[in-house]
Amino acid sequence: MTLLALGFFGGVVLTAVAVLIPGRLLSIPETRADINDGDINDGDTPDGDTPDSDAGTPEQATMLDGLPQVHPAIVLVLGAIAVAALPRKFGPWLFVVVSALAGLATLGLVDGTTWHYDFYGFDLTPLRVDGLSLAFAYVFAIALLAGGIFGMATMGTLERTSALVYAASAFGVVFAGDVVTLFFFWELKVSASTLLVFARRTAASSAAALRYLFVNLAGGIVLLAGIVWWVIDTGSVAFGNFGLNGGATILILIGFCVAAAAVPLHAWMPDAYPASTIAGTVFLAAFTSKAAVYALARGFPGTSVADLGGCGHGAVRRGVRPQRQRHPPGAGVFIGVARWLHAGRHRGGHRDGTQWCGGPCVRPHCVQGSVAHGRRCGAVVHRPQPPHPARWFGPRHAVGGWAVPSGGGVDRVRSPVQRLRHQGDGHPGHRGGRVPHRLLASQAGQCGDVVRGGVPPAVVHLVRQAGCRRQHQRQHQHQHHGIATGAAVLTRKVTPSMYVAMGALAVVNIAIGIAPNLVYDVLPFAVDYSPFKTYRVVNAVALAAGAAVAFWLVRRWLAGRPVRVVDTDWVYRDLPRHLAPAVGRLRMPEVHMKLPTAPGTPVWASTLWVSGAVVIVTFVVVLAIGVTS
Amino acid sequence: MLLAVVATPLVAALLIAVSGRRPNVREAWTLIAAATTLALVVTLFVDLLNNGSAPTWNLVELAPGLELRLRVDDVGMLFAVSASALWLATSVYSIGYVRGTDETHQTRYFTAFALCVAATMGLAFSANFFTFFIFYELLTAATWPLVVHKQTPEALAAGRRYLRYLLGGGAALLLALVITQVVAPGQDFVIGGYLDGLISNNGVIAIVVLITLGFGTKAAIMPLHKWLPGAMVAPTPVSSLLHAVAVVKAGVFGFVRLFGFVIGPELLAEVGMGVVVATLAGITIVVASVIAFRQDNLKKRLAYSTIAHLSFIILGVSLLSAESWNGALLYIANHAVLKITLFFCAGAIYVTTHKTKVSELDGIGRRMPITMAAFGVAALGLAGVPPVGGWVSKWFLGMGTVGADQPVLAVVVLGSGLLTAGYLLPIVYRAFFRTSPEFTTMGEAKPMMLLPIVATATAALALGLGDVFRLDVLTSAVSALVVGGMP
Repeated sequence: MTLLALGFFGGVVLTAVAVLIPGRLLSIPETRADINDGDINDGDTPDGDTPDSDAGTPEQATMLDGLPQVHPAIVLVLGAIAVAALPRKFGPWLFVVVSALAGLATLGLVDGTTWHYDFYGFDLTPLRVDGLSLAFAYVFAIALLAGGIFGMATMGTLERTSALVYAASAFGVVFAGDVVTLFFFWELKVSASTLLVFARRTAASSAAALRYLFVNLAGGIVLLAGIVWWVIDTGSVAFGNFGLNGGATILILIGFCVAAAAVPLHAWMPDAYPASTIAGTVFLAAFTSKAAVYALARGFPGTSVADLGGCGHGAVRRGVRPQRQRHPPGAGVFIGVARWLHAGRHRGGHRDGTQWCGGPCVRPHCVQGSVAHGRRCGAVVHRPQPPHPARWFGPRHAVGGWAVPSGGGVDRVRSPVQRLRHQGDGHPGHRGGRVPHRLLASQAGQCGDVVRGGVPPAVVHLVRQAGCRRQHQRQHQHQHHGIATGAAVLTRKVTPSMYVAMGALAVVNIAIGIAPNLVYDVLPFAVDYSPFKTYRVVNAVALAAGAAVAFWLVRRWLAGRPVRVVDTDWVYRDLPRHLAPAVGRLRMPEVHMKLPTAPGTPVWASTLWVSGAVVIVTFVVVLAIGVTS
Repeated sequence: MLLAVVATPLVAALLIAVSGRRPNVREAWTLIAAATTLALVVTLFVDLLNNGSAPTWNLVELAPGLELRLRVDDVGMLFAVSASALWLATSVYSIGYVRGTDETHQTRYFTAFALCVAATMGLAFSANFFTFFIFYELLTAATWPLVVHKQTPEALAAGRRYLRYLLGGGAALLLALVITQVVAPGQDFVIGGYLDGLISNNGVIAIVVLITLGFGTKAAIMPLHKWLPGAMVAPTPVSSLLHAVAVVKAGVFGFVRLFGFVIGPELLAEVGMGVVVATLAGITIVVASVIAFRQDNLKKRLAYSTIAHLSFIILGVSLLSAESWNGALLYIANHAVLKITLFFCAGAIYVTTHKTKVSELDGIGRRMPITMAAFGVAALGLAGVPPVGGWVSKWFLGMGTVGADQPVLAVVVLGSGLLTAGYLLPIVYRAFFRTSPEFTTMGEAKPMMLLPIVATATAALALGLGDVFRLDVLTSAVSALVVGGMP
């Protein structure tokens, strides 16, 4: 009860913070009105001219008047230095304090503010505050604070330091007003986040971290190439609407898509995230893909070709393909409510697909949906995933690798977690319920794109729900029939700080579900959307029913099987191993990908790389179509 | 003051030689000379920035048209600032190193070191090709005692190879000098070159081939690179000197001088030799990087890394665009700081643990966290990852290659970062995320070695955050003047 009370109290505090945010934004109606006209780039012209505000801070009243305007990244980097330098015992609270200060710094930023910095002859804008950047920054601030509380008992100094730098880089990305700053923080993000994966200090996590590092560095190189090309072509370094209209912008889009884990560039994500530390996974899920979603929304609004990846991602991630259980048995502990089956493979999977499906659409609803979906960061705290699906079915009271006091823990946290799970799948009455619906409405009604004819978003949604239900079934099956395979991994208890973080965010989520304006008022566009209208509820129920039917029809194929998913995983994991002998005896065995040795892996699986090639070719073709059209 | 910049290390060499029996006094002369040289160079630098002051000094006229002259200019100042600052760091580090390893012939070592720096300062401020050639060859001679310092058969063999390659290159350079002296006797360096209209295209091609052979040996462009990995037998501070402070940088600086101040970009573009040299540099980048993957010896891996990264500078200079020139010139400083950090770390590891192989470094981060963190910073910088300095050069070089419509070279420049990360970052991974029973307790190198490591790593970070050392003021101005008018 104490813990729940703490969680409730924390939730009330976070809700209060959330209430403050729209209050301060409401003080600048003229800016929002401008945005409502349809350009999310606050005055940026399509050819990338600098924002209208040359410098300085507009005279606007805020709820936090009197606070100096400080870039949250500065607070976080200084905090990281302090965490690294001070004795470890100060780390937990210092992290939380620094996170809170970064949150305050975010609240103190005034829409329209820009900072300028001369960097080797370039006039850079390391801070550009507008509605879109603020919306994502609030998400990051909440996720960072919650993640910090969540990991108070588990994080080490390396984790805390790298998490703070990582968060700083994410803030840096969303406040970057130019492409040089964007690239700077983009790459810093990669370095810092890699340390979060390394910090687990197992052989598997180190291998995954190296793969993560090199894939994202490669993505960064593609991004750099695109940026450099674009700067040469346009003569501007402003970060605005690139528009998909040439080789440079294609490279930029691909660079963003790598970080967004868009199909077919996604293989790193389900590899690295589960390999990270307990709290590290929370931060990874909160920042990397969300920052990429922001970049897509900022750089490619109205680019319909990106929808394919989003919808396709959703389809693939929800069990249309057989799943490969790639993580070796006994790969480590896991936390939270581990029976949430899709967490491991699908964190940042279909959800991020949905986000950036919405992000690139031009209409306000799309961007709104994307930003609102980013608010799911909180939900991640509730579902940090286990590393191996087989471990998810432990004894009744097992919560992954965390032993819950008999008869207690699971039941205590189940309710908000299951509630969140429903939210994530878009059930009405919950926070997530509105997001896919709004995205779907926007896409179906307003976005002319290549996807609409081929993969109707509603179908994707349907399949998603079908996948969920399958997992629900398995969850309950194992829970109630006691298929106990995970007893050996029970190692530690869920800590009070975890309960506090989870409970607090559950309250926030429910509060947002009940009062959606808490989110709507933060979004860069004015919202005229009510999730509780009869037809929307009926629509949601219809989708749920359709999902049930779909599930029943395809249930045979939804069960996990120990085979390899052969999309681009072949390129990601196997190709380097095949290339290495050709190049020479490269002394880098850590980077070479080890294939799972799951029993029963069919021989034919190794030949399925053709399908991966097909996916890539399809992606390229669609991209080309999008460009030419 | 200009003469004092060259004279200070020379005088120091003399004082060091006569103080051999009193090591503390000898090392004091080294430190005083390094600090004085840096102070003099910084004074000239500030004067150049604020007042545009470019003093000259006529040393001696050997014959009509053969005059030894010194002159301050932007690009020479860039080289001098980098070399003098790093000489101070290397001096402090060397004292810790030679005492830690109990090296023999320490007086000869420090004397030769000071002579090398004197030659480097003369090279930086040479006003004409003749003066440049003289100091270039003096540098070769002064470095040889350092290469063979250990006097082992392996070291002597490396010394012989060093002389064969560099004196051979010097011979080619001498031919190029003769041609330019015949065409324009006694001509000082001129921004944008002075040979246009004075020489046929075939003559230009001949000069480019000769200076590629001449400077290419010191710059270790493939296939003229063999002496460099062999010279790794020398003590680590010498490797730092070779790779970061003076020797190899003298080679790439020669390309800068000859392409930008003798031949000129327009003439070079007219005969099409710029692209040829750039292609050669691009091939060197890729091949040397791949070879670096295969080196288990840490210093040899770093040596091949140097071979690859020097070619970035040659490639940038050869592309003849303002951006690529700016990137190349900035990379002279960036690479110097980054590579010297890596060699310092390699030396600290050797002195502390006597490990020389990458495969022996598992878990060493627990014992030497500061050293290996600095190694990680420098490795990221060489890979072109922000926030460490190298990424700025990579940015400009990328702009140069893309702007010059050279997509293949753009892929090489930008993609090579991945190769660099591939052969350097796993070392950091081994150090921090693998374990070994050998390294369980913390034990860094002596402060005399650790301090320069921290200083150079910090400088590398600072270079990535902005033009804190005002180097871009020099490089962008030179780039604009030299190739700004190019189409």
